[in-house]
Amino acid sequence: MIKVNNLSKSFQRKKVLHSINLELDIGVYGLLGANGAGKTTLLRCMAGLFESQQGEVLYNDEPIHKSKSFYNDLGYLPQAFGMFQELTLYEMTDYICSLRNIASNQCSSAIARALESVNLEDKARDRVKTLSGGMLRRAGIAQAILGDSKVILLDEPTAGLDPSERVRFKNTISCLKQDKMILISTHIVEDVDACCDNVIVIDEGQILFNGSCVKLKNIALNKVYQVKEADLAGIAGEKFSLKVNDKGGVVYHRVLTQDKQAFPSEEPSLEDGYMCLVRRLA
Amino acid sequence: MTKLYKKTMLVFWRSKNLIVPYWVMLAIFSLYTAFRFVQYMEYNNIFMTMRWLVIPCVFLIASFIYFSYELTIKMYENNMVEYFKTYRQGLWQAYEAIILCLLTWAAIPVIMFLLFMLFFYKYINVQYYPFLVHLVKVSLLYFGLSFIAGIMLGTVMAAKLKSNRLAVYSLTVLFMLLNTTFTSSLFFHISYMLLNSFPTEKVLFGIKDFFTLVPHQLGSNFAIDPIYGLPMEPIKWILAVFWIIFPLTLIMSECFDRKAKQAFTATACLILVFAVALFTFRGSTLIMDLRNDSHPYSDMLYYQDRPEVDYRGYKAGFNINNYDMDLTVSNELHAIVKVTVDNPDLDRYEFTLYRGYKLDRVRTENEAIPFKREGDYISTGSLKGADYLIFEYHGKSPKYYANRQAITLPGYFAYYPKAGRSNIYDVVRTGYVVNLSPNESRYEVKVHSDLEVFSNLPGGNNTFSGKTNGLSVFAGMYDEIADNIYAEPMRKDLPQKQTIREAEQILYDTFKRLERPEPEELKHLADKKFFQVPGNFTINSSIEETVVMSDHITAVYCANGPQVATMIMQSIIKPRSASYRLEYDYLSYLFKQKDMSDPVLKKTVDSEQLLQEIDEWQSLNEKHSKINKKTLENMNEQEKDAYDIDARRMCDLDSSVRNKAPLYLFYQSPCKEENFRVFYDYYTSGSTQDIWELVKSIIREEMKDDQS
Repeated sequence: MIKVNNLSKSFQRKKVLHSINLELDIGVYGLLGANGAGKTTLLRCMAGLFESQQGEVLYNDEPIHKSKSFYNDLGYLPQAFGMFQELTLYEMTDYICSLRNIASNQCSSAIARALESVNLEDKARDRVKTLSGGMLRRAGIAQAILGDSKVILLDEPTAGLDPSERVRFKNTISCLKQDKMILISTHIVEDVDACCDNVIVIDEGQILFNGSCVKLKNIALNKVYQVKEADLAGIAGEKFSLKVNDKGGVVYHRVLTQDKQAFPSEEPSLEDGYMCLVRRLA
Repeated sequence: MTKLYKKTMLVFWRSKNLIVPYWVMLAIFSLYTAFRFVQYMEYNNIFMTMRWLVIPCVFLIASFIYFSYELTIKMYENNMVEYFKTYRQGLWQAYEAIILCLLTWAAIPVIMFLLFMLFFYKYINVQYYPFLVHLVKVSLLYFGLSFIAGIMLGTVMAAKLKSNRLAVYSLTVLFMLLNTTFTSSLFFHISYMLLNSFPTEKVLFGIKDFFTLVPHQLGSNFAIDPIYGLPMEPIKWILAVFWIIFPLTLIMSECFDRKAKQAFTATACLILVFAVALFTFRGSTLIMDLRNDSHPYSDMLYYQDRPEVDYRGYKAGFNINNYDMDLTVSNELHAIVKVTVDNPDLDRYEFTLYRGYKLDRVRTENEAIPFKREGDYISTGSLKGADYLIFEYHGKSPKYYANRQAITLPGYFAYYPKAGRSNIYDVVRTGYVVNLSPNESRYEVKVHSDLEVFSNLPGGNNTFSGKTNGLSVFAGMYDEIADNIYAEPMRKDLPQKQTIREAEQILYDTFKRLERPEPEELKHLADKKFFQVPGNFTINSSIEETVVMSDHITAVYCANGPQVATMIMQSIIKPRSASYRLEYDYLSYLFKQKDMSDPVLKKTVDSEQLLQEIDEWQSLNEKHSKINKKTLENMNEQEKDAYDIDARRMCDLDSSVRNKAPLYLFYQSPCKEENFRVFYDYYTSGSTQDIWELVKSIIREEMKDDQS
């Protein structure tokens, strides 16, 4: 569906993306990376907002700027999203329908579906300025999915959502994902774990990993150990303390290390796999 | 698009920071217009009302910059642009809706103004269709296109400067200042006080003009010429369209990516270059401000700086028998003038042609004739066997404009080659010299212009032929208002045949009274064509209030017979600057224009005392003329006190002598009729005698007669 070929992007002298190659088909992808890793730049290049210095983005084997269907099929939620404060949610969504060239007779049903998907149907007649940050974020998702988009690029969609809204977001994605390519850019590993079938890890503008979530977890297989703080010095080889928690007054460290330890390793999580990658422990 | 438009209208309607100021602006504008209409009803001055009506234009344009910026910036401040760009032409569609919405809001005051203009036209009841067209054009250009330009400027500032309100409003204030006389004064001071540089002034005022979107600058007190109306030369329309299209292309470059963006940016640059080029060659425009190039100052300053030339005794050595003129009036005057001379054997020919007209070439039918141009003068060698010369030139005069809006080219002005060298502007008398041929020449004239041209020569369809000593050409809001009387129909003080007949009779009686023959050109005045010229002719000239030519008269005012007669008499006498006041009083007494109920005139003048005062005044004048700055600085306290006392005395005497002398000579003297004659002879003879010596000799003679 979407192919990224040898894509590089620089801002003045700073190279932000280094020869990115990706192939994305139907499914939900998580684009995972630290702040400043190049996630937003990659998404903007894929949405046609940025011109790359090198390489290209293809949609159904056609460069996106030449593709007749790409912009009709694209749904994009930017990191910072907003609407005219003076309009109601319904009016604004209707406005977006016009911008997206959705036929007038289909607008009402498209709006209803989109707002229902993000559970904002009861807020349709409210002015945008009365919506909370989370609601606005959901309205942004509704905007992206409006009109049955086939390619959905979501940049930090869960930023500002409370736990229940995150659950709802996960459900929304689950309902949407049939016949669609959804790419969710985030730095929150849990979101990827909850929503995505595949994960792409980006760090300093380079793709470190592109595969299933299970594969990413497996990178950390036999590298994760749970040790008491007092025993931390006894860990052999190079190590990285991932998490510190307190269990009944005893402080435990979740440690990543490449060296085999004398005690049994822990079941790795997606976060462990991700950290192994970015700490070059893979 | 309809849906987007409606939603954008809703956004405007529901935004308190937009809708409230909008209605306030509309209410203030309506009240202001109504107030000006009431003022009109009181003073009955159409063009003063017009001037006041268009004064708020700059505020309205600035308001639309504000509305468009604040509406557009909502898209940016609410982070909508990024995702709009991912829709096919999404951002452009949003911009289209915003611009359409703003155009709708702008249409309301435009329609209101247009309707008011139509009502105004109906109310003033002048029945002059070109003025109605003028009013409609004013509404469209200054209230239609200018508002749209304001909308585009606000929108493009939002697109390019984003939320940088300080920059946006600073630029708006700068734009407003460029549309006021504040910047005229500022640029004038920068150019001359700081840099003393004319090119700097040209550049600064060029920039100012490029941003001027209003018909009449805020702060300007210059009156509007009814023949010209408010400035609406093609360059004004081009500028307004430029300020719409240029920002539009910049907005479009913001909405599209890749090649389209580059194409729009390139288009914007091309439009800018094209507009600047057109602006540079804008030709004749009516400029009324402080700058050196303007109507009020240009020639006055130029001729003040130019070395003085003595024309006395100069003879051209030839006369021009025929003029064959092909005048094209587009952005300026383009002329091909064939002059046939009566003496083709001279080695050298001198002509006068105003310096603003650039001579492209001088030739006979097939051969170029070398020429030398020095300011207003052209010298050529022999005619190489021909008896004529063809002059090809183009250009403009800041005062006597000729463009697509109006033409005012009076016959006494050297806008076409005149035989010999003559002065164009008299610095001493501050006015344009009346340059007329001593003989009548035959003219064949074709004027290429979209305007209906009026001339002193008979003809029609802008083609004229006949004999005269000066060809006058007028066009614009100008018409033949009565038989052989041409004037600006919108003026209140329109000339009437009866007034001219009355003036003719007064002059006849006056010459009879003076026992002097009436000059030929003043006979049968009422049979001559009468052209009323714009009031602004007198701004920088005190000479041309009335000019009598062989077949026509040009005059600024024509209120009543005595006034016209006075001005005609003034035009034929040759006063000296030192005696201007005396000349004025002479004519006032001669034509009984003085208010005789004035108590000052009832005081009897003691002629002996007057003589003493003149002597003392002259002696003090002479004494003071010898004192220079250095002498003044070297004076001790006592001498300085004496100098101050003398200065005060001189001032008192100046006023007293100038009041008493004419009162005595032309009103109280028993020989006043003889005095009128003596002064008429003096004024028309070109005598170089000091006028105060003449005054003294007359008074002494009278005293002698009394004694004997």
